[in-house]
Amino acid sequence: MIIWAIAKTTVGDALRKKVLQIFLVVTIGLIVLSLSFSQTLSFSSQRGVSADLMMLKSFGLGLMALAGIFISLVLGVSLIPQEIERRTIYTILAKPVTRYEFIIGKFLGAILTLAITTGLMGVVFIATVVLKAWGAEQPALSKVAAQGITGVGTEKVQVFDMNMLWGVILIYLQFMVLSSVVLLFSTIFTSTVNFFMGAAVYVVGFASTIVQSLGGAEGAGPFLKIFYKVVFYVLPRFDQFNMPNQLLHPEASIANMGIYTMRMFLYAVVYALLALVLAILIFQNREV
Amino acid sequence: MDERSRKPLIGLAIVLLIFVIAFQAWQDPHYIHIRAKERSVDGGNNGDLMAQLPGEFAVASLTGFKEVVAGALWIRADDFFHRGQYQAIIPIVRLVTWLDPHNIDVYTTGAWHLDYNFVDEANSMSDKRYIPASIALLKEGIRNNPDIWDLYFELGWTHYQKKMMDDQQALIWIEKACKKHGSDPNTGQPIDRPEFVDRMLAHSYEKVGRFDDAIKQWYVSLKDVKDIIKKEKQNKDIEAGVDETSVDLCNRNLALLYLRLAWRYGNMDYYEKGLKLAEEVSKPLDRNWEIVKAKNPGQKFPEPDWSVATKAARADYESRKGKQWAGDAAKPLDAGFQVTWMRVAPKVLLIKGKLNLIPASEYKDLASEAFTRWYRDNASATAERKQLWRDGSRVYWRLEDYDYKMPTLNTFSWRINTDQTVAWDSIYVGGGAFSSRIDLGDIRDAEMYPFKAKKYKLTIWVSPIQPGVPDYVQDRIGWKGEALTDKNCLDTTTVPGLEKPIPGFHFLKKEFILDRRDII
Repeated sequence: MIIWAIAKTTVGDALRKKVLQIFLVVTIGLIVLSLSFSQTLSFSSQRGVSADLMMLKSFGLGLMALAGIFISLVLGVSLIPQEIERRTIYTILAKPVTRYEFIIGKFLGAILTLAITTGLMGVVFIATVVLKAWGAEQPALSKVAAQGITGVGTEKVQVFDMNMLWGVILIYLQFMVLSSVVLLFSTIFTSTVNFFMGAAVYVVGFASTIVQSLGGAEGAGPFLKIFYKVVFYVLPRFDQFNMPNQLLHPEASIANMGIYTMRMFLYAVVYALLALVLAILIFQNREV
Repeated sequence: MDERSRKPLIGLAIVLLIFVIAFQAWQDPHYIHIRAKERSVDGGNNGDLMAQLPGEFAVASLTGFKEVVAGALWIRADDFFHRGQYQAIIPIVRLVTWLDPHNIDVYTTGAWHLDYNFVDEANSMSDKRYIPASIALLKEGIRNNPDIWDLYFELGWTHYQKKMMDDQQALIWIEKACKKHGSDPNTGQPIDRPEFVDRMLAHSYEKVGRFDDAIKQWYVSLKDVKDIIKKEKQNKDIEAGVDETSVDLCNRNLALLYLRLAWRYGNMDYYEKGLKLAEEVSKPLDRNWEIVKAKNPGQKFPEPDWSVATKAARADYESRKGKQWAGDAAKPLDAGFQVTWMRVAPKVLLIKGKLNLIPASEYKDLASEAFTRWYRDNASATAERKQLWRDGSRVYWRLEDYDYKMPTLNTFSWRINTDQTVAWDSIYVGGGAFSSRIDLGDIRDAEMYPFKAKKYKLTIWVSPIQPGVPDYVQDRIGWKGEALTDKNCLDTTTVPGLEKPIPGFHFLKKEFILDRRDII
């Protein structure tokens, strides 16, 4: 109950933050606006509206991801330091609240806030795509591909694409992991340092394929190779949550997006748990 | 928190960390597979550039560290290369050359991929439709790096000479390379171009039949390497000793050029000059041979091959001196070139024929025999092996849309016209006959050989230029194939693949016009 109370308070505090509200409103506004300008971004005339839809999905998923980074960082960096700076932590810890309950409550509050904001953006995103696809037609692509000819009629565009949902869930999962890392850092660093540390972890985790290549590059010494390997395996692999291209081209590879998302869910939960345990271990011994 | 309650938490953290690492190790191969396929959407070469690129690179390229990003991208491309994912490399090449237009390796490697690595499944033949893209990429590289030799040479040697077998075009670009210096990749300061570039120019003159220019170029190269060696010997920083093998290399090549001019065209002055140079090369070899023998008394050491050959050639020279002799390439040789084709299955052709390029018995009497000992060394071979004495020659075939003309690209793009069909390769000649089943019908290769045109041209030809014929065949027919005659197939104009006709060359060529129904 204590944990839940802390989580609820954290959600309330977070949702009252003006900067968060602005991010949310701007992102949602842009997703809706993309309905109108997706036409002009279309590169392909042969695929007609399906190309527009691809651009719309790509744009929406990208915007959500971008907003998610800022929300996670802005929210996460102030979770603990702000309580210390405002000295409210003394009041909380003076009550029968253990430190681990405080940490878990804060984390739960953060991921609930993220769930609310991502959910809102996700609903608007899916609604926008459905609205665009409703009643739209495209050239009969299966016939075009098979016969190498054009002008063989049109077919209805699929209105609801399950991949959109998987995309929203994957975006949420990656920011759950990012929040846990930022929470861990907030037990050690000040808000400013934490912001940049969190952003750095995200960038390196997102570019982990580069890290892997650097580790395998000819000429890299054994120490460097070990260093890159450790970075590659220990930092969260944000790139694996980021599958917009796969979602937009479902014929490309993943046989079952649901199973893939479940795997990443498991990974995200375990990683968040790891960060949480480390945060508890550090915070338990910290002088506040 | 006391130590007792911390321990389980630390244990839990370790278990979770192990799980995370193990999950990554398990997940990564799946993920690589996913990303690889993701990149090959739309066949990998027709998709939009940004859709083909991993998002992290596209994002990173927007930062200020252009060259750093380019370097990281190139490392990534190397990964793809080792995994055989060639389709993924070319978009990276495009991006890297945008970010860092002075990265020479990227142009050379990218052009090489385009020339050689997009191969069909059935025959491992490269997709020739990418060749214009390769040329365009190299020319773009030259525009961005006009003052250094590297890409001129690359276009001339790797592309025109090796891929297109167009020695005239190769020469143009290698000549340009020889007018440029190199550049230190770290400081950007001018440095000498490597010696082999100038040596390749001499070889290129030889290939197009400009023998006087080739001789002159060998002397230029010889002088240059001697100057370099002299300079290096004065440099006290070089402690390991100066490498003088380049002098030996130039001498050997120049000697052989003189000797071959003599054997093929009966020029006795050149024979004498060639022998003098060959004897010059022999001197240090003989000295070493004497030293080795002296150090190991009682043991037998064979005389160096070069020295033995030179002495035999000297004897041959003396036997011909003062006599009328026009050289071996002056005697006409009826090649008896016959070729047929038939369709054995849809998009599968069988090409076979005969080519009497040089009867084995003639080797015995060739002037070059004294030096090369080709006949004598092979005389003890088995009957089966002797049947293949003419091995080394190749017949070329080319099948293309009737109106196919290789496009010229002003700007680099790896998009190709997927409606066009063009393929070529060569067939090995053994015992005077050749045969090859050309399978263009594999379902996996349908995009590479679409056969959408109504008419096709099938050209089958023999070129006297290497690599179609080896040195010992040229010793009989001449560099330009001057000895070649054929009552049906002699062609003195040009063959497919050459941008311009080569005057004075004798080719054997047979052309067939095919209907789509003949192939499909």
